[in-house]
Amino acid sequence: MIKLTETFGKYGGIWTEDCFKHIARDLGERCSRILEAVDFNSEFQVLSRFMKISKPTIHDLGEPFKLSKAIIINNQGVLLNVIGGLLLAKKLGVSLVVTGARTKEHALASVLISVKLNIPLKIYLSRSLSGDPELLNAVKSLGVEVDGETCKSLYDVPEMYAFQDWFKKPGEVFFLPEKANVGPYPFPSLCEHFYSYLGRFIEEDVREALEDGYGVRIIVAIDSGTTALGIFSAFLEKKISLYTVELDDWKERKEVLVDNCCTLTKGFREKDNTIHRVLAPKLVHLWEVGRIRRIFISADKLSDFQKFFAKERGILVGRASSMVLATALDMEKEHTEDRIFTVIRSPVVGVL
Amino acid sequence: MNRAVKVFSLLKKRGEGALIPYVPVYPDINKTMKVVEAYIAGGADMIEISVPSARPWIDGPTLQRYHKEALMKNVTLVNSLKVAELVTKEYPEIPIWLIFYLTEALSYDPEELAEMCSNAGIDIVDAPNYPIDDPFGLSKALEKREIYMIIPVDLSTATAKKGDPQYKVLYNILRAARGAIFLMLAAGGLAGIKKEFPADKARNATNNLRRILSELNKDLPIIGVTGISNETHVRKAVKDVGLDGVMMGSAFVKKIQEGASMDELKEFTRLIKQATISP
Repeated sequence: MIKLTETFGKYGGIWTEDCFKHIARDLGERCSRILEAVDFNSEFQVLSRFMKISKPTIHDLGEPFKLSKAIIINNQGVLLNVIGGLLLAKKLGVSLVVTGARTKEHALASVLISVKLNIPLKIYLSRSLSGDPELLNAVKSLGVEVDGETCKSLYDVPEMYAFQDWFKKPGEVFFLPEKANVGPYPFPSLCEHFYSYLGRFIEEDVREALEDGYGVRIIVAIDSGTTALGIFSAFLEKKISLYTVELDDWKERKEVLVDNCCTLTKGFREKDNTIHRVLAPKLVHLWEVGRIRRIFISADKLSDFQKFFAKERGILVGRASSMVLATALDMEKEHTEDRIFTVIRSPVVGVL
Repeated sequence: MNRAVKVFSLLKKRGEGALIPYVPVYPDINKTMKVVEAYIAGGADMIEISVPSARPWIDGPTLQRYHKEALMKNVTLVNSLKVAELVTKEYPEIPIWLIFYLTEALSYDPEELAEMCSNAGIDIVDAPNYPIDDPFGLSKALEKREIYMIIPVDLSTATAKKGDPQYKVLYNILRAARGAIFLMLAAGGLAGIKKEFPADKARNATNNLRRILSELNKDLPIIGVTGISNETHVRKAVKDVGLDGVMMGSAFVKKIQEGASMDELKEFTRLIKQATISP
């Protein structure tokens, strides 16, 4: 049975009033049964093809890299999560799906797939997204209910408002999480489950390197850590070194425990006392038990790397990709023989 | 003896329900103390001092607005405890409740936090989503200092009967409860002003809670919370339903946000308190 109600020491789980815990448990059990059904998987595949999800491309990085490969992922994880979540909602027979969007990709994917599946959707937009008239028009023209005001006047935490809507009517509404860092289980597990297709996509390529007798490392830059969890999920039980990279400007902010709508995890407290960048609880746990190594990179180092790439290769590499590539280059300088897989997004300009 | 327990017992003898208004700690300690003065002058029996949170997901828009503004003014748990300390000094007979979310509380060691609460004169801690199995040892640390952590029960769980799937949960909650019990009157347990008051459901729930408490040889006050907005709701809660009191948040905070004067706030408190008193 697919396990959707995990706890990791003090992290994750169901941090809510005891009298409400059964709601999340019931949902977890129903979701497990649906996910294991053959028809769910076949419909999931059909929708994935419809949304043109393809296996990430993997290629050598070339000079100055010698051992590193690039796994190019773009929005596959976002699409997989939205397809899976909405299909699940349809199978659960709910009358409304609610979601909060911090990224345009999640907002658009949710709208498009809800229209395709004919499921009513309500979407809370973050403050920055609600200022995007093009997005607002697109969402409204497709008949989706959109709330662009709440995040402007209250907390800029769209997932919290969507979660509240679910909590009020858990039998009629389904909460679609954008990241694996919010809500009680099963929500973070569901998100991780759908993102885990990313790991399965590249499993074979990584296995080939292992079979050639090399050590293998995988590096992913993280925000909440959802993509990293999805990619790493296929390799947690294997002898592969897993790394996450973050910019060390977060060090200026205080890392604190966060109760993020019934899941306990870590986030960063800003000087104005707001919480930003909430981490997926499972990732925090995997760092603490030493399964995933956490690397920080300085903004100066990142900038040097970006300048180098722009000058030598004519490519403007995005921030997340630069963090990963700069880390890989450092590892190569250690004269490692390990094969390094770097997970990167498409560059802004040029082709990597 | 815990002051809240004493006051509940006194009110019971007088046939009154307890009024526990919510104190938003904002924008500074002096202005917060003025609000406390208005509440107490209006007849509040106890007060609940809040700690602003970065993730107040149980609260509706009125309280979220307060949380956010207070956070921006750098109001923290320490400031809220400072208010409690001043109230204890000025009004030693008034029991104090402290409400916080885990995001704010878990940055402290449980023993340290319990000691801070004790020093500030806290009687009851309201940590809405802290599990009863006490995974951080906070309940235990508080209880050592005779501070009770209140446990909330929603209407549907509170009406569970033997054989229902939720009965075991309810039984465990009541077995663990100390000081008082919160009965959440709003659907889903989310706070905020609601138009409807579910009197029949609340009555069934209260009777069921009392029956199980009696089986456990316990006599704890049951306090209505969430979705109580006006004196009609309060009258129904205390007189028709038989609750031992009400905790009100959004209705009071809304008055403050709308710029009510301290006299107006005192008058509103008086009206609400009046509704808790038997004719």
